[in-house]
Amino acid sequence: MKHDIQLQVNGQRRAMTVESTRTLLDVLEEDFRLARTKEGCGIGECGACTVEIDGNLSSACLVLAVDADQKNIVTMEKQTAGMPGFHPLMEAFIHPDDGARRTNFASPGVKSSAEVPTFCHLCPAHCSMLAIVEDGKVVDLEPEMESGLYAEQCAVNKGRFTIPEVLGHKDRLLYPRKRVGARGEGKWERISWDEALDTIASKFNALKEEFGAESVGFGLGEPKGMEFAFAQRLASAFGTPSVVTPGWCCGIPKGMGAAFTYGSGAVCDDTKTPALIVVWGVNMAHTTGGLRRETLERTLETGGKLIAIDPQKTYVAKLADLWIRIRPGSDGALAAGLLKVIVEEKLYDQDIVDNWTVGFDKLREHVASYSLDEVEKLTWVPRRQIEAFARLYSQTKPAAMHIGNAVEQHLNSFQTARAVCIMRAICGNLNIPGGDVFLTPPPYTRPGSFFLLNKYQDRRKAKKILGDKFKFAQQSAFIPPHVMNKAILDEEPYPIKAAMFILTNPLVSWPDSAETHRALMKLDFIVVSELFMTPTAAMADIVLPAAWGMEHEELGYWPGWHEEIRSYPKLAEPPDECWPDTKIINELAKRLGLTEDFWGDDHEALDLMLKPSGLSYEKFKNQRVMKPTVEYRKHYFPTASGKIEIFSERLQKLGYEPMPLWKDLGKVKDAPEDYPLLLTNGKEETFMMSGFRHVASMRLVRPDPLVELHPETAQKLGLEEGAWVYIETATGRVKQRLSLNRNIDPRVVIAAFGWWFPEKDEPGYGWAESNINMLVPGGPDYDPATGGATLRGIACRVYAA
Amino acid sequence: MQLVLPDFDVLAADSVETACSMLRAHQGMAQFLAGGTDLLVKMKLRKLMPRYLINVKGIPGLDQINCDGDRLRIGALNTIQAIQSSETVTREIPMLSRAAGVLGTMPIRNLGTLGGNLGNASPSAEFGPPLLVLEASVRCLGQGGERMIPMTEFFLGPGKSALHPDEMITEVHVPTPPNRAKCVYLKHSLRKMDVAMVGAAVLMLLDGDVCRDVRIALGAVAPTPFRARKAEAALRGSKLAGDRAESELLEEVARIGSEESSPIDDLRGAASYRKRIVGMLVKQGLAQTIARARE
Repeated sequence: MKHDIQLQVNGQRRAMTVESTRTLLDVLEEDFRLARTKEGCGIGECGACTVEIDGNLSSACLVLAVDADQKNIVTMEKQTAGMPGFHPLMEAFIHPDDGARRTNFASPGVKSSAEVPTFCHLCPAHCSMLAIVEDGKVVDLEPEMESGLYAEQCAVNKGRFTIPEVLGHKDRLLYPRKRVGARGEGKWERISWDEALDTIASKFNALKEEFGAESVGFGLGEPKGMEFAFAQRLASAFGTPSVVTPGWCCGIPKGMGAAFTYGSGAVCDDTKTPALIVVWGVNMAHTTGGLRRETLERTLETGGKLIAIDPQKTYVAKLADLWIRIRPGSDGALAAGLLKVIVEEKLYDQDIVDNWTVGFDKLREHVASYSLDEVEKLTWVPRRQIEAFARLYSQTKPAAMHIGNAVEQHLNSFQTARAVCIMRAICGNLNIPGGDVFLTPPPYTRPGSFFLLNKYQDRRKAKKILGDKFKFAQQSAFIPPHVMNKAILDEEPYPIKAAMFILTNPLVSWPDSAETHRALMKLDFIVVSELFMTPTAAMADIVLPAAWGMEHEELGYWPGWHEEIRSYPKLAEPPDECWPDTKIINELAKRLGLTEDFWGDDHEALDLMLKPSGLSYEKFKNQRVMKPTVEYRKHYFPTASGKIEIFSERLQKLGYEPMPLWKDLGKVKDAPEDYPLLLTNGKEETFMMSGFRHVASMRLVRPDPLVELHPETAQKLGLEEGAWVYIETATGRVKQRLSLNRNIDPRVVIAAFGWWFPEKDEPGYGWAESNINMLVPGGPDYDPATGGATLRGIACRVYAA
Repeated sequence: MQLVLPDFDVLAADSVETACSMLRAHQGMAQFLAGGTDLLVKMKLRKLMPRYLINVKGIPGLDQINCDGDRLRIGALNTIQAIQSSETVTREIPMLSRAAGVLGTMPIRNLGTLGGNLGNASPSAEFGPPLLVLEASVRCLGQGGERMIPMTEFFLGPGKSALHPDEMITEVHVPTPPNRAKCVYLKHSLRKMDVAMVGAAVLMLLDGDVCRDVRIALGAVAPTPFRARKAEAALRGSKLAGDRAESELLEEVARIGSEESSPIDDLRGAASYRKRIVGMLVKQGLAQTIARARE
């Protein structure tokens, strides 16, 4: 049903026709193109969409556009549009009730209160925060708006809400425990730290004796502080290459693509304002390891353009000048199409191509071998959109292109990254202000060197487990998860008998959960360090209670490609017997006889990290951050040839395709008849990966896993909205609740990621019920360079439960 | 993924009669839309998917606040914020204005309505305990005509009220408390902006050193907000001499109140924790109102 309305927004009057279902927020985003007012939770909890209606602050996500007819609407943009960063006037809209977000831990009559600047440690955006600490408890995390560091929190404020709640959560693990009864049964006995660490050390050493150090594996998640680096250091000193990290699906494909194309990683230049931003498979309103939301807002408010590539109509898609609703899994084909247009229409920078590239002629020859029609067919993107994208990107300067994890999660991700890097470089957007730039790191110890990879390259031999395969994994100190599972289950190429997991929940976050479960069941010995009991922790032999960020002094350097290091002061005591992971690893290392490479106290490592700067950790805390410098060096390509290597001999020598080819970029599997739909997902806005389903304030925002289908598809399948439905692939099936969304392609299924249910009173917490990784095959096939499997665009079917 | 609303049409009603007849006409497939702060949320989360929303915000005359001598008549379409900032409410029943002020955040209070808060009938409805101790009644209109539902009969279960499927709340009648009665509403929640984990409203009428009347209502700790009758009975008529005996009595009353509650375990807290908080809030509520009565 349509309604004719008159809207007045920030003084601008407009007559419009709107559907009943459109919210005022929709209209403000899509029709008025407001970039600061945005959707966070969608249910009126987070304040991100707050506007003033006839003088009253209101949540625009809960106001139908029809109800805004004839009203006077004033948004935060009225006074803050064009401001460089997050401003108190924005916060005044988002959070008008002083103190309303404070967690109620303090007893009546607060005795001590402090405000301490720090950073959020929940996601790699590390927004600058002002921690409000009352009586030794962190009760709130306000945006820190004085330092000039990035302070605009994600729309849903997940760090602000999650962190204080987790720090005081009733379900935090408080003491070490060991399994009694069968694995996964859920019966535990409390033990001391001494007993825990002695047991682990003797087990690890015994296995080292009998099967080699490589028989002990490590599973690591995303670095928050120094714990990841400590674990890598331990693995090196101990001598095991069996270390799983998320590198295969996050960071390495992009990083290697850049290294082999122009010799260095590049990041979007947030210090300037791009004239065009491309956001490919990412949505920085919610989570970013790169381009900041402030930069996007500034760009749009100064007339800059936006291209968004996403199967979902996200915030960036709504604001975009060009929204490319891509077929999940076909990013490589899109990149191939873009290169073709750029090359054939001569949209590239002539000087750069003539003087600063190797292999351009080969590229020109190659792009003639496939057609835009083929690209259109594979990507579902009309050719005129591909052309528009290519033209806009090549002709608008400066242009920053932010590629998200989604593009790194396919079999051809390395080659796709190569194609994108080539595009970036030949269009002249590299190392220009507002484009994508090389960074010169400030003086702190390189994380790689902290891992002691060089010192122990004879002990920790990646070749032992990877052979000739996945060479970039080898170089980047990780093995992909399927390699660990295989070594556990098939004992190929050697048996892995034990594993230690920190920062991670493999049973929910590794592909092929059923296989991961079999692998965990087969292991002799599992150690998990955790904040809460999780499905993976439930299967351990020993569970260690981890202290978290803000519960000890920390340095954070992640994401590595941003070349920045930050101090995270201790703000609260860890509960009960919790130890930070750095201490756990440090103490374990000592018991393993590895004292040479570890310390009396794990915090001594903080000074070591900062040594090149001449600052001690205590001194460094005053400045809080060391940032890289940007030189904007023209024609500087630290490759073997000193040029942009469209064709790379180095890659050829390694046994990989020296140039991105259509045969790889165009690798998109057809959906077979029995699994006719394509499954994909995005990052959960309210949680971090599989974590924090315990957090009440976030769980009420997304109480259960929703799966989206187009209404026509649901109708054809006879499915009822709101009901639980099965999503099934050749690998497995799960149940999620159905929501219908006209904005997605009818051939696509958008499922929720990372679901398990801490409130379920059963060991395992329902890890197999709604967890998307039950559906995702662990491979083969794999990306030959990184060992990655395909996580997006998996053939599936949906039917009633 | 971000939440989109399901499909629906919104129909505007220009009178209560029209609204009720629309509800009847689309039986089972329609809901009233006032502030939308509960309804639209349930729809986005696909808990409720009405095909028709009957927009009642355009109905005139439902947003008044009148004082008729011994009672307030508060129109159902008053926003929570309007109740909080109403001079009349603040003057006549300050506890009610303060209760309104602790609901959610301002952007929610400016949208949500009294009628919506009651009609949603959540076990933790913010106005539940206050209106129960004030012995308010809900005026509603439906096919069978108009009727008054006493608050004590209004909440039937989680999300369930005594309203018939075709009825609409038009007003809430709140008797002004007796002259010397003191009232308080206490709320415990994880963050101030959160829904109550425990809500406790107390009305105390002290006559010299005798508790002439006491009313205690609890929210969020049972299937519905309710009057803690046993706790009240243990205190009503008792002598309160400001001595040790008094504090022991109040402890006992608080304990009885806690026993009367039946909270659940959830992510925010265990049932046992909530029961403890019930005891604390009842005790605090009694102590505060007694202290004020003695001033």
